[in-house]
Amino acid sequence: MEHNDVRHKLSEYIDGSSSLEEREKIETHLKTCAECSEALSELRKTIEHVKAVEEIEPPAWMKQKIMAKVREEATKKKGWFERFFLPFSVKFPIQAVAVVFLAVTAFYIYRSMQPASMQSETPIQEFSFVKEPVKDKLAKTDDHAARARRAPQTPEYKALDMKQEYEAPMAPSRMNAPAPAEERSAAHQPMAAEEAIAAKSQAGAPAAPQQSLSDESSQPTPNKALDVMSQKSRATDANREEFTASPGLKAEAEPHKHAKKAKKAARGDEGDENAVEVTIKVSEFDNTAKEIEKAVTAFGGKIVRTVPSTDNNAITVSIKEDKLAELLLKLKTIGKVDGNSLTPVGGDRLVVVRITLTKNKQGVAAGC
Amino acid sequence: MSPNGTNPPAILSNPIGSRLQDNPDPDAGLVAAVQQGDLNAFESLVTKHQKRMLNIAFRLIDDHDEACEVVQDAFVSAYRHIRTFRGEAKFTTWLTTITVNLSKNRLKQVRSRKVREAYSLDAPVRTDEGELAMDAPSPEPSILDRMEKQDIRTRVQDCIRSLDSDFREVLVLRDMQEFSYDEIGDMLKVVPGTVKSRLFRAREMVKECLKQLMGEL
Repeated sequence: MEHNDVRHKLSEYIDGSSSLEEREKIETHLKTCAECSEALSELRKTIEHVKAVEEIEPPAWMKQKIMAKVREEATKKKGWFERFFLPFSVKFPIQAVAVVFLAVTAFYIYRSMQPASMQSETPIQEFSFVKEPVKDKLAKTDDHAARARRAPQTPEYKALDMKQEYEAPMAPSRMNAPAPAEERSAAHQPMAAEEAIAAKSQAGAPAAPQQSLSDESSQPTPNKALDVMSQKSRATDANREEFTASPGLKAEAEPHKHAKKAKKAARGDEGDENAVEVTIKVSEFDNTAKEIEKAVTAFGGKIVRTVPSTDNNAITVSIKEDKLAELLLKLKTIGKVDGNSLTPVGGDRLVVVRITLTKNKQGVAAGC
Repeated sequence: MSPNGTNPPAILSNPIGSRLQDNPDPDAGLVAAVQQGDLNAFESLVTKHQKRMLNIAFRLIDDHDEACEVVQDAFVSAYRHIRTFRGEAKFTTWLTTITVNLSKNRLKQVRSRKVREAYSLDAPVRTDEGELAMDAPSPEPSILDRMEKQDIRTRVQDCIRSLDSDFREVLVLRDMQEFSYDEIGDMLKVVPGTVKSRLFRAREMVKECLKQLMGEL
């Protein structure tokens, strides 16, 4: 090993980190090189001087200051997030938990809001009907009369005009000068009674052949309304649900029509346009509903749907046409039946009857 | 490690882990307790290591107040990141690395501050090599008389202070704190050969400095 190499290795040699081979070479060189031996001696003294440098003592406040900062750090660490998540030894994938939580919450909110929205619509629609002023009813009646006073149409054109089909034929004098609503309703009350009798008489009879609408308009008879009603019960045309036998009956039926529409909308079964509508005023719902169910079952029909409510109960019934008359008679024994112009028609096909039970404010239980 | 050196050292190399198998860390129990949230255990670690860390910082920065600040920051940083310490190196090595890095950063700030301050006759000057060096001691007899009155320790400290930070680090860590070459290499992120080379040069410079100051060793 050369002189310079030995000088560079002296530092390692002093620390004892030289390899055994290097150590032997250095020691061999040191025996012959006085300069390197002196350098080694000086280096050892230098290291001794450096190691002898006095150490300074830390001030007493330093540890306190350090611990104060560390405690502050520890307090800061225990925020709500750490306190919530650090106890878990296995760290949850927070995003996944959050997604599941949001999905479940959204599902339950959706489930809870659906029925609430349906219930909230019902009173609004009924309220709008209740608030309808009498004046409007008269105006609507006048509108129908005015439409009737329009330029005469050909029978073919009338057949195409759906609205014309619902207008019952009337005497020319009435068409020209319609009586006030009170007068009209009074004048046609006997007629309504006649219709009820006719309905009873036709209950057992076979169904009359269906007449064309043009024939109805050309041959106005007191029983025409019953025929139209029977057509409605056959559900041949969705637009034929509104009918009256005369302007007077029409005026009476107008609010009922609106009420039925509103109730149908509330029940959500507006799509069942061909159902026969029957309204029964009763003193209480539960027993009456049971009686109706018994009657329907007895006549071979079945209960399709029952929608109970605080104001009314709606029972949708499916029954054969030939049993419809008997059912209607039975219903009249149960309560006061509105829509008594129903005409039973014989047949085997099923008819949907929507029976609406309403509270009789006078407390009249039954009988009409 | 971040450039400012405030973060603790990353996972140390495997050789240290293998060395630890032969020489287990005496602070392992306290460290484990701190990782479970025991502040008293950390206080014990502070009590045990604060003097050593302060002396390292003081020899590197050569300013007592700054060194105290550095040591406080080093312990707080160590506590903040104690959960990332996996015991692959001794806690002392880990803590010293934090202290050295913070000291180096602080030294840069102190030097830049001193450059802006008014020139002092006692302050070190910049040489052509770009290193800060003490003024060469004058050979005049009057100065030698004054130097003889100085304590030898003060002279040694002056010589150490005159070293460049790279050489001062290895000298302080090896000759004053007696860390091994491997540990110093891990702390400074240099290979052991570089540590040996720097240490040889640092010792030679201090020797020459002392010879100039004291005439002979």
